[in-house]
Amino acid sequence: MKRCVGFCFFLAALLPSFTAAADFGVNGTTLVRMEKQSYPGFAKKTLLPATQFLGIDSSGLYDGNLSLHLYGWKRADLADNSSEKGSTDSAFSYGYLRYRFPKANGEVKAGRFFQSDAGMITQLDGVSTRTDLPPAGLALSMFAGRPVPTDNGNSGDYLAGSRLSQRLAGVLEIGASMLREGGLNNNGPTTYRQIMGVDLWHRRGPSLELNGRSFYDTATSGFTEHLYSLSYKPHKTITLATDFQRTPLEHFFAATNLSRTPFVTNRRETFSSCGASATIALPTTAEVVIDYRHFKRDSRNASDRYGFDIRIPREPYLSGFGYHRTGAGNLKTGSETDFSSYHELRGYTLYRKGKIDGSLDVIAQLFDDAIFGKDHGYELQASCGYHLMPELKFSVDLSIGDNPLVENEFKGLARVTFAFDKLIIKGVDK
Amino acid sequence: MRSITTPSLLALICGLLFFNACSALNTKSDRFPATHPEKLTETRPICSECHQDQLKAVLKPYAAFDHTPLFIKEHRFTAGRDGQLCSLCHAASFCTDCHANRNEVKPSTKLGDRPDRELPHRGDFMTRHRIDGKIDPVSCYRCHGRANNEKCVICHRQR
Repeated sequence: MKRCVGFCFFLAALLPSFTAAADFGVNGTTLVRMEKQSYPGFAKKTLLPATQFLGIDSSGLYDGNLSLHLYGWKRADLADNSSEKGSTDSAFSYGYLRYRFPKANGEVKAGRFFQSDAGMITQLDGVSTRTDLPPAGLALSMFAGRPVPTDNGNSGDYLAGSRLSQRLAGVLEIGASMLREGGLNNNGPTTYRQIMGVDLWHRRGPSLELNGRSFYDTATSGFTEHLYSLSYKPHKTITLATDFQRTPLEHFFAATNLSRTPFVTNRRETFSSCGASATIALPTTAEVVIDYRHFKRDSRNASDRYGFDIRIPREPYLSGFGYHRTGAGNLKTGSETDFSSYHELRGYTLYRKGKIDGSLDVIAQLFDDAIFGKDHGYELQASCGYHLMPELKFSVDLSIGDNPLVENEFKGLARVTFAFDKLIIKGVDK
Repeated sequence: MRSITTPSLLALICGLLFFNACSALNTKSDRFPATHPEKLTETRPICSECHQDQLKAVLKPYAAFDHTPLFIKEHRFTAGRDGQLCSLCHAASFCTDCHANRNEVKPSTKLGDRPDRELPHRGDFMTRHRIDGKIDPVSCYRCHGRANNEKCVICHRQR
């Protein structure tokens, strides 16, 4: 962490030398939460953590194509400790320089950042590059660095990957990607994961679209995931969609940071799910989504989730209501921590006018079988905010709740949100 | 360690030089603007309401990026292919509100004044996770699989 903070100061110190004509932005959120915590089996606590999220973005540096991006948070507990790490905690989420080449969507990033090429999301300290290549439609990206260490330490010393894609205008994109994470442990060089992937986007006319990807881990010799989605738009207000997912857990969880905890008790099984949804979007009137999903684990039979969401925009209000049923009845094993099917209801309304905004949000579950003697849970949250300036807002959230784990829960939160995007360092017109 | 990192560093330097050359040579290709030219509202944008043609820089129709409920649910595909396009409007912190190695609060708490946003773990997820996690463990992994999980291991200790 100290090295990261030092790196940030180093980058910030370089700013004046880069600033031919730069925009400088600061954004963040200050949270002070208030909560009395009382979980079965744990000591009662009064929590009053204050957290500052802070981001700095500066663009137009050097020759106008260089930008700097920093983000992180720090927490201080003003009452009992809110985590096992002590009364303070912090994280450096990202901090990188990005240079955009004048042509071909070329860019280089250096520092700490998230890489999401082909869906293989990973946080690393390193370098990434990408560019379009001739002939038209061909693109290549590469990244390499050191994975940001995690608490369980199940990560390698280095990580590298790339993605090569070919696009046919308006019709097709096919990508091939790879990622390798390796390092040294007591047994010598080790490969944590070596994933090869293909991804696909295809559009046929204005109404049919296919998305998908498959990943194969050569370190475990098995497919980690197949994920495909097809949507069809028979009318401009109606979208029908279906998707399919198949995931062998043994390979999917091979490189997880969760592997040392008993999250997945039976990894020699395959998880699969398929779903369908219908969206009816009536502009300025309402949006309705009806969805169904079927889940299947080899060891646990099947379960289903289905329901609907309605969203109604009515200036200055935006309201929504939803209902879902999660049916886990076929998965029962008879143990204390068994599955329980449940109904879930949610409703909210958001009000915005001038400098004032407010919201009311309620979510409730009704369990078929009582959990710790209780067959329901709910949370009601109210929020009201005032914009002191367009870029600066103060808001307060209050929530009450009741659920199988906590009786009569009451929480409060004070929030300051700011986003000053165009502070000028030197010079303006670019 | 040194034997691993030295070739990697050399490869990186060569890669950077190669990319620089390619970008300079490929003069016919368009480049994204750094940001969206007009400020957008906080509600979900439907790109095709203003743009009817094709987004040249990615060779896809604008309609492919309309922020419909389906697009939001499946944004992983777009983020994996066209991350540069996302950064026109979204700062990276928009992603790290949910996707981060370490998050201090759950997204629906940090953004408690935005009930209209699609955010995971609303309400009492502590109770629900014992059901949802068993039904679909893969959905947990997508965010928690490569992240710090100090709050999880308070209960889920290694046996």
